[in-house]
Amino acid sequence: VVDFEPWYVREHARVSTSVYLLFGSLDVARDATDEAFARALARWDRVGAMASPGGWVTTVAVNVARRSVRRSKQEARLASSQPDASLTVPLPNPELWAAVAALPDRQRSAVVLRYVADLSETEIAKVMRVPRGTVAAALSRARTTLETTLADDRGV
Amino acid sequence: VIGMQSELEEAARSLVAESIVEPAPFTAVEARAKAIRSRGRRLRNAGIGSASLILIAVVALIVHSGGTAQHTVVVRGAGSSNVVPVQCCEGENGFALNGIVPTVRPHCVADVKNVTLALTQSRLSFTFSCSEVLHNPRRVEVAAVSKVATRRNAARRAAKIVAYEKQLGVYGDVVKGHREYPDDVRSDTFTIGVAGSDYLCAQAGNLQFRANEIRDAAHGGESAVHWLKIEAARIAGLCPEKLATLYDTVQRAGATEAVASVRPLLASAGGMFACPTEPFVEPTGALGPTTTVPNVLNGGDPWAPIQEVAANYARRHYGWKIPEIGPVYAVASQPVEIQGVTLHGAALAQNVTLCGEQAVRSSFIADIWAPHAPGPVRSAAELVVGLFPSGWKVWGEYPQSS
Repeated sequence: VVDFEPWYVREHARVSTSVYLLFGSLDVARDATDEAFARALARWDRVGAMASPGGWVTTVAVNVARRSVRRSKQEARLASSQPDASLTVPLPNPELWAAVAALPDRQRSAVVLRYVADLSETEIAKVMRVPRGTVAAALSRARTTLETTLADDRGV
Repeated sequence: VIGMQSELEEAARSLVAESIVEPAPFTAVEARAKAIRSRGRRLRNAGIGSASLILIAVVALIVHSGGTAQHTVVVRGAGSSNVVPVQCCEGENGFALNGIVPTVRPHCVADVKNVTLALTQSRLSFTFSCSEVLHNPRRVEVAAVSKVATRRNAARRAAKIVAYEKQLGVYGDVVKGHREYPDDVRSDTFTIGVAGSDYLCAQAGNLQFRANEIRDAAHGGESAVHWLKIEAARIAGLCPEKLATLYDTVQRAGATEAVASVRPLLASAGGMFACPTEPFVEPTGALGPTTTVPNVLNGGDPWAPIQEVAANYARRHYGWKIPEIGPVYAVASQPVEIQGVTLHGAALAQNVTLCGEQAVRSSFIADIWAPHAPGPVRSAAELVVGLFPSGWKVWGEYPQSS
């Protein structure tokens, strides 16, 4: 079993940044990430022995955020909007992340979970509850779209 | 595209290195984890477990059995405050709504403009103008109810209890010479908002407590069925996830026939929704997700046919033009631990359970909401969708806001 505290320090940014990019709210990201890591610690004997504790905690954080976002009208509006306008924290590579934010939901989720959360396609499939092939297709389409969008923006 | 892949990888590395969300201190994570563990224990022990819960139960028992609580009235006169201890609160309700005015009125004298009632056990205080206390006591009560209406979801739970009592035909009954609590939504709202529900919910599985109650009811000439109708209505309104525990405890206390009589009544007439009359079809293979699909804690399953049925239902019955829907989850996969986080899914699952094993195996819960619903209309609901010979149908609902 991995030691919890160093794992928490190491994984927190990945998970919280992923949730932030998916839901566009710093508060939701903070709370869902805290809750997910607390749940992980509460059952660390099992979670710590998993092949991918990071995949587990990301899944839980995303699910907690989903439920939290649904719970109020204000948050429901947030969930239904593309989060590009609500990304309030200045990000490095803003052009790229704005293009990611403008992707369709499934593609955006797949990109964030693959590159930011660093999950495998199989793990992403579990988080998104879709077949693995769907994840692969979404990632492929997302990369093509991003390439085209960014090329246009950059005047290539 | 390969270039894009590298660019994404590099950009993600920079982004994660920025650590835009500050991690909570490790001690805070530990405290939260401790609370989660404690919640699990509390559920496993059905109300008899951790030290804190025992304390709650003891306090609840004192209140329930007519103990006296110490509260204060702060009398604010011209330039000074006078704190007056109040001996009060006979009866199970702690401080009852109709006790407010009689308690504070004697302190509205001379140049006293306001009085504050401090209910120390529940850490609540209410300030009333003496003018209203003396001349418009109803407004005092309305203000007090308003203050606690959203606390612990009191108003909604009170309304549910009264609805169940009405459906079971016991609302307003006189039992053992006095009108049974709750006597109306307002006073019940106040009681739940002030005292919470532990005093009832924590006792759902207390065999000795329930056995005594049934015996006392019999001494007062009340039948076990009548007694259970009232108790079941309260539990169904306050903590429906404890209903099965209550039935089990009452059976163990010897009132098997009362359970056999009340359980189907509450499931069909007094539950949140009635059990269907047509048989279920168990979803297997290609017919639908099995009961092994992820539960609510793990995200559910985006199973399109069920989502579509739920969305159509919301369009037709709620008038939502563009409903949004999340993943669905199997009732049978509901883990015990969700009951501790007061998700409505737990209440729905409980109601489904009342309709039998087949209902559990064939039913799924779908979260649905209307992000663009105008004004104070129902904006979110959880729907129970079951598989029948004619296909998937919504057979239960729990609109969450109105």
